[in-house]
Amino acid sequence: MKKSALHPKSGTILAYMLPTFLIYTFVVIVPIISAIRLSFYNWSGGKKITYIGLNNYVALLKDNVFWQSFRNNITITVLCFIGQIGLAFILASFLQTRMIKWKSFHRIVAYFPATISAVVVGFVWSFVYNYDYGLINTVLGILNLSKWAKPWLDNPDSIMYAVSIHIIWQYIGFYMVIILAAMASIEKSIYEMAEIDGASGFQKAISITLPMIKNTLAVTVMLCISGNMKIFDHIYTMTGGGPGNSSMVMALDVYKTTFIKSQYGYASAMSVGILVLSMLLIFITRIPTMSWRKESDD
Amino acid sequence: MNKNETRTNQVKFETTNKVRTLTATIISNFILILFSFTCVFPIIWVLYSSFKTQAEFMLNPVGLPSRLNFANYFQVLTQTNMDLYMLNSFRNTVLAVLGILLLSFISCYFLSRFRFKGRNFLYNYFVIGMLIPLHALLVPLYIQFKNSHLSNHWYTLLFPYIAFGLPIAIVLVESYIASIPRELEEAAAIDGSSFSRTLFGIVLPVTTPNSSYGSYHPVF
Repeated sequence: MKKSALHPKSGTILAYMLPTFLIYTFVVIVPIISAIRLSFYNWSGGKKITYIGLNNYVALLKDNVFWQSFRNNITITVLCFIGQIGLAFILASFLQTRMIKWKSFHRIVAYFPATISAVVVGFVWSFVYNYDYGLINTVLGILNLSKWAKPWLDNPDSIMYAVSIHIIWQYIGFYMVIILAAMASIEKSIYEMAEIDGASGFQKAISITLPMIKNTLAVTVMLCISGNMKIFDHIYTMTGGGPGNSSMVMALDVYKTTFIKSQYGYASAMSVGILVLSMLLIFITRIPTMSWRKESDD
Repeated sequence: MNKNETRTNQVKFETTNKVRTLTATIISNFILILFSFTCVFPIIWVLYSSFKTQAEFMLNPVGLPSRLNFANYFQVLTQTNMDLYMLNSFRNTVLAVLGILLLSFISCYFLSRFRFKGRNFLYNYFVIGMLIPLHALLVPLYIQFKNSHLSNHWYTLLFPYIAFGLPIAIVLVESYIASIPRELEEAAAIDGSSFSRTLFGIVLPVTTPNSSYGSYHPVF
C-alpha cells in the first residue's frame, strides 16, 4: 500500500484544483472585481470615462426603482421559501409514507419542470396567464366563472403573486428531490419506534424528519435565497418588469440600466449592491444554521 | 427480512385502522396525482397546441386538436435556422454539463476530504459566485473576453456556463461526498490503487448520480 494513495502531496492537490480555480476566477471573480472598479466611474461605453468616487452609490441609495426591485426580490424569495421548500417538504413527507402508489412516477414528473429552460417556462406561463386565450381564463369560462377571469399579468397589485407561482411551479420538484434524498438517509427504525409509541404522521414529520434533515434544509434555504435574489429569465420573458416597474427585479434592473440606458458605471454599482444584499441575507439565515452545526458537533 | 417485517407491520396496522387508512390513502394519492398533473399539464398543453392552426387555437385554447397538423413545424424548420440553434444548444449543454461534472467533482473531493490551509476560504470563494446574477456581470465579462480574444468562438459560451454552474454543483456535491464513507478509498488503497485511479475509478462512479443532478440543473 502506497502512502500517497490516501494522502496525496500538496502538489497533487494543487494540480487537481488549479483548472477549476483558474476558470472560475477568470469568469466570475475577475468580472466582479472589474465591476467594483467600474462602479466608481461614470461611463456610458465611449472613450470618456470619469472618476466620480462614491456618487454612484449615493445615487443608488436614493434610487426608488432599485429598492422597489429589492422589495420584489424579497417578496419572491419569501413566497418561494413557503411555496417551494414548504410544499416540497410536505409532498416529500407524503411520498415517504407507504400509502402512496407510483412513487417514482411522481418523483420524475415533479422534477420535470426543473429541467426546462427558464425562458421556455416564462413563455409557456405567459400563455397560461393570457387574458383572451390563456389556460386559466378558458378553464374559468368552461366552469361558468367568467367573472373571475382577470388580465393576470396586467394588474400591478397581484403581479408578484402571478410571477411567483410559476417560479414555485418550476423548482418545487428540484427541492423535493433534494429533501427526498435527505429523508431516505434517515433510519427506518426511528420511525418504527415512533409508531410503536403512537406518533401520528404529522408528529413524525415535525419531531423526527424535520430535525434529522435540518442540514439539508439549510442548504435548500441558501439555494432558494441565492436563486431568487438573481432571478432574471422568468421575469424578463413574462412581464419584462411591467406593468410599470411593478414586477421589476434587481437583475432585470441592472440589465436595463446596462443595455437600454447604457449607464455602465451605475449598473456596476447596482451589481455590487446585489452582491452585498444577497450576502447579507445569506449571512442572516446562516446564524440559526451555525447554532445547529454546533449542536451536531457536540 | 426487512421487507417481511414491514409487511407484518402493515397487516397489523391495516386491520386496526382499515377505513381510516383507506380514506387517507385515497386523499393523499389524489393530492399527489393532482400535483403531478399540474406539473406536466402546461407543457402538454403547449405540445398539443403546436398541432393546431391559429384559428383553431383562438376558438378553443384548451381542447385537443381536431387533427394532427404539422404546418407549424414545417414553418419553423423552413423559415428559421432552428436546426442550427438546436445543434448549438445541444453541443453547449453536453460540453458544459461534462465540464461542470468533472471540475466540481474534483474540487469537491478535495474540499470535503482534506483539511488543508485555506479550505474554508476556498469553499466560500466558490459559493460567492452563486450570489451574483450573470446578467449583472455581462459588460465586464464581455470586455474581458474581447481583450483576451476569447469572444466570437463556438466555445466562448462554455466558459460562463461552466463557471456560473460551478457554485451550485459544488454546494450539492461537497455535502454528498462528505457522506461517503472513507473506508471506500482505504479499501481501494490497500488493494494497490493509485490516488488518481481511486478518484476517477471508485469515487467518481459513486457520486455520479448526485453530481449529474447538481450539474445539469443550471445549464440549458
